[in-house]
Amino acid sequence: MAVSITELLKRSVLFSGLTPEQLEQIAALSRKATYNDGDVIIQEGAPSNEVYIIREGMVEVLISKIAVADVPGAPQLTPIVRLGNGQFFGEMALVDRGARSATVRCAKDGTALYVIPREDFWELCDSNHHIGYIVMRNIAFDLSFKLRHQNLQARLTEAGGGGGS
Amino acid sequence: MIYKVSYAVVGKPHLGMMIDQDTAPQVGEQILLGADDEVCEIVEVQDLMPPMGDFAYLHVTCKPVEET
Repeated sequence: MAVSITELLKRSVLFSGLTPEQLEQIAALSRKATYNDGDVIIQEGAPSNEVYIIREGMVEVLISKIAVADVPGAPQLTPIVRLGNGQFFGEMALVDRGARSATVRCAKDGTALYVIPREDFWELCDSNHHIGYIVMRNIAFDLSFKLRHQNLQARLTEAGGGGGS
Repeated sequence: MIYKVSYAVVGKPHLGMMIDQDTAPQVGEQILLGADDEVCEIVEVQDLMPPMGDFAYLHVTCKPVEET
């Protein structure tokens, strides 16, 4: 039996606390996108217009080690974390409207995402402040989760003395 | 309950992962992490943050399993 997009959005922490009717409103803004291993979904430095929720699959977040304009060749990309089912990315675009802070690449064939355009989402939040408050609270919670993960990972890296690949 | 799990591997920062799971991870379990599906063993599970709604936030520390 097919699971509705509303049911799937309900399982994302981004929308925890919203009513079924409010989830329907979010679902109406969303579109589904599918990627294969190696596909670049968002590029570091590019304008940010959308937020992505991983329905199924895996993506890899990478940051450039060197980004010097006068140096020819693509900057070397370093993987910093993998994100799987239920995670979301691109949420900083919802908050600060700045350029993408990292590259996100698909790491598994058939990775399915839900994509929500930022401007449509802001319009919904402006017209329904309760939705806006709940989602912004959830984003803050998730950014804290990611920051704590990075802190612990950095501590473990130092403890293990490894630099990774 | 949905478990939001943050995985980190001692000495291997590129193997970190975040994922939602329906079951809580357990010490001693082996999982595959990273692009090369490196086998890692869970050595510690801790609460990363207090639960919120239906979501629990866990942090898992792993170590690579040495091939014999």
